[in-house]
Amino acid sequence: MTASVLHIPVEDPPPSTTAPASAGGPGLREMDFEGFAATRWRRLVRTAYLLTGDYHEAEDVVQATFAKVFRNWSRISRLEEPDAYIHRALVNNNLSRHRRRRVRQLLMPVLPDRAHAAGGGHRDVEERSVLLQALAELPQRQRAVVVLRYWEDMSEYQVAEVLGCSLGNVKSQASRGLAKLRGHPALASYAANTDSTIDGTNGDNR
Amino acid sequence: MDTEDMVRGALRDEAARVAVADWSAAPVRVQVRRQRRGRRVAMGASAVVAALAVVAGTGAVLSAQRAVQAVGPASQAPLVPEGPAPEAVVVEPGQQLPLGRQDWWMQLKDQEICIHDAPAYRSGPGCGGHSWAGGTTEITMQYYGSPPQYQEALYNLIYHGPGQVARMAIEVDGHAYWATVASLPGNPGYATGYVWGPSNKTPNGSTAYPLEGIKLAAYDAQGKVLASKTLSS
Repeated sequence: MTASVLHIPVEDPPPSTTAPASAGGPGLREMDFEGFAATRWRRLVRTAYLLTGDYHEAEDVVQATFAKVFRNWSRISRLEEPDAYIHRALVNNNLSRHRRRRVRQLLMPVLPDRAHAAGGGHRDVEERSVLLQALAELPQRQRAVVVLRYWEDMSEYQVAEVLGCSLGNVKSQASRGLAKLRGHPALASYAANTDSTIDGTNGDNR
Repeated sequence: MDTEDMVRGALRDEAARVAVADWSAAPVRVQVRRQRRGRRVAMGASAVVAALAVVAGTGAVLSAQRAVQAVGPASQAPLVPEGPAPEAVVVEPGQQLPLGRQDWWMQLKDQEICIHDAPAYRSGPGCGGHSWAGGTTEITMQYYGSPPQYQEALYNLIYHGPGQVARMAIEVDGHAYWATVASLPGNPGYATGYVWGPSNKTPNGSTAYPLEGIKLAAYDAQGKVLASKTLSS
């Protein structure tokens, strides 16, 4: 099955005589971008936090994404849905970082000594919330689907566009992600607050 | 409350715990300036390479191409390896392609490359791998160290973008190697290459050379550079 690819215009459209950004020079272009970035910053950092599990890394990922957006701002600002582009860049950025981290982990000639890893890792585990631990157990793309669907409230179609995959792929990743989270202690308090059990979905689940 | 609503609630509560500071434009400006400076240095270096290639009178197709394309992707292309490139292979989706070492194999899927590595990595019966999203043209690499000998490592190059990859090359610590190119039938939009090369660790665990600075390139059948990169981290 061929995955769908979101079409991104490869050439800038002809400059519009009425576009204030093109008439104002670099200063206006920067202000235009900064206004855009400032209004998206907090929500994107929270999204990145749920994707990475670390606040400082979340800030770095979003800033790196903004740098890419700024370099291509004249084109991106004219897109119909610049936010879709930013989410796509954010998710790809995070996936790339995760792959590079895995490569560095594979550099170690011997696996880490258990006592040493427990000393450092145990402290990390204590500081992380149970939900972040649960999210960390999901494969990266599955985690991205869960965060985009259930935190960003994107539709399955929008998630497929962001991830450059098929609707079917999004549905199956979401279903698997929910299945893994369903029995996790992270959701126990949410299940306890209702009369429902967490052993399946009801008929209204979409 | 169904599972979806529980997950929504949990994510919302977790996100609300995070106190996000106000945005500052300074880090973005610093990053953009650094990247522009890097591109100017790379373009300057490629002009020198092109001049030397012309002066040396080399007849190889790839170096001539580099001279013509001094600005752009070819500016970061690795040295041309000696000898002919290994024959490219076409595999079916999910087919296991042996990588020339016991327990190592690769599978190509729709938008994912799966590499099964040696038992020392405790990957189990599955595989580590690389996947991507979006239509950006790029070339990248994954490095798999090979315990316990530490004498060699698997370099897995990945290109996705337009064109048909005929050859891939990597330059490590001043030495250039051809990778064996593998792809799916038709025009899947990506190709991968693999080559066993030097481990970047010495037997006593010290670093022989940094991964930063490794150069990668993918070429079409005419020797044109489809993409190239010098690893920065």
